[in-house]
Amino acid sequence: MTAEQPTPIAGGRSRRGGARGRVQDGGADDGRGRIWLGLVVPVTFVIVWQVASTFSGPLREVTSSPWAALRVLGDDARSGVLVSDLKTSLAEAIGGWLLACLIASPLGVVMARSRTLSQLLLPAIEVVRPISPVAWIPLTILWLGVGYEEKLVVIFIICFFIVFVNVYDGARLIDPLLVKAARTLTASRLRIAIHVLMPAATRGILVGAQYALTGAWGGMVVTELVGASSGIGYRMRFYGSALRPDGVVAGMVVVAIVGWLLDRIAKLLFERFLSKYR
Amino acid sequence: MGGVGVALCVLAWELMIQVKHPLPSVLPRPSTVFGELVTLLSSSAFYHDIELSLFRVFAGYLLGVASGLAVGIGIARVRLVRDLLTPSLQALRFIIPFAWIPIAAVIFGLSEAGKVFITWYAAFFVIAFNTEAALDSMETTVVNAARTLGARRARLTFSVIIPNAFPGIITGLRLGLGLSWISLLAAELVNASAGLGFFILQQSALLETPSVIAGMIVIGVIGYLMNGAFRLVESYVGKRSLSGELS
Repeated sequence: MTAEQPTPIAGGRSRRGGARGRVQDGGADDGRGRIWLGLVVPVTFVIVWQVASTFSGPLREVTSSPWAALRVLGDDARSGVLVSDLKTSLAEAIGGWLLACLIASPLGVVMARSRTLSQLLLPAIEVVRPISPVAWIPLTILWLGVGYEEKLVVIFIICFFIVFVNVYDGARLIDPLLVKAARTLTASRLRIAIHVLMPAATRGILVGAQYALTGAWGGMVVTELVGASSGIGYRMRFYGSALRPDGVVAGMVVVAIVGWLLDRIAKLLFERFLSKYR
Repeated sequence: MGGVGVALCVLAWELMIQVKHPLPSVLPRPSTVFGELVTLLSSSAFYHDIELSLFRVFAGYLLGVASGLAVGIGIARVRLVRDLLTPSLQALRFIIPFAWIPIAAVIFGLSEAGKVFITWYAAFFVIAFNTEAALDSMETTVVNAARTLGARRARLTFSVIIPNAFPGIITGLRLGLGLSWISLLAAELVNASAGLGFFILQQSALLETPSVIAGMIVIGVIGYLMNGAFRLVESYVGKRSLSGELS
């Protein structure tokens, strides 16, 4: 069981040994950074979209225009709708995420160190894990109706597996040499636990929590799309049903920006702690 | 291991029913669910739902593989492509596939194109990013060795770098299929009139809990098989990778 995540754009560490790094053949990365080139695509896209939607009625009906989307964003921000939506959505996402971290972390550590417990519980967890959290939504709605608790449960499920996998792997794959080295220095079991196990487990918790936060935000979007009475996802569906693509696009922009912010904050907080435990 | 897990789950399930006596519509007995599963698997309507969902996933996924590989390789090996596309892709990846569902509903209505767009989108980003990372992260000794033997840009790319990046690329393909599947389910929950996702939502509205759970099991099995098939490919490719042969 490994922690699976898409790898970011960066040089990786080779597990087979040997130096790894950016392919240095004067290929795609010269480091001189023609940053302005990166703006060409998005700027052109926005301009073309705006012009096309100004002149084409059918297109405007279906995608609206960048300007219209910005207008809706401004209106919703001014009327307080945006803030209340954000409060609801963040409460759902962060609530489920926190709950998952609090439950999955100790469980992961305990199971990683106790063979009997892991033999008992791990098969059950591995059977439930392939059932995508999205598939849990109808059952959860059946149990709890459409509301805050239901969303909390779904987001909890999403985050639980992410955090658990990372904590379990982190606490389990401790270099036995480290443990042996500690033992030769006649460290008691407690000291081993504190100085070897805890850093490894904490690393797992921090990494898992980071990924889980992104998952939580995405989970919020899905659960609200299926059924809700407030929140960013609900707002997008609301505008969609009213055939108001300008509102939908505005919602997409908010989802992206907040998602990016959460990712940034998580990276900042966790990488700072992470560096202490390397 | 899997068998033990299933047995444990069923046991815990039966236990909970004995202890708490919930309504059958809240938590049906395992035997009821199993019976429903058998019924569904022998009904052609259910197979139609499964086929539709799988079609939507694979259509978008295959498009995503083609476009993702092309873009990933392009970004890793062609400087102009990297400069042009990387910032846009990095920004777009925060608009998760789920966020595209409402606008796809407006643009495409209930048509298949909307679902295929979502599955394509999900697969494309995962595959492009993973392919790019796999190509960029290479054992420099191998690359330098090839270059001393006179390999130039194109030859280097296709004969050395890409084969060596196979394991990473395959991982990207596996993760892409997984995300495509999840995104498709979400799209069917929100905006569909048929398909597996729609099926379980409809059954839950009808309080047909055994069908809901049976559907969830089918979804889980399909996801598990898709993942497992790729894991098999990964282990096969891992044995035959270039650096595997060199080390």
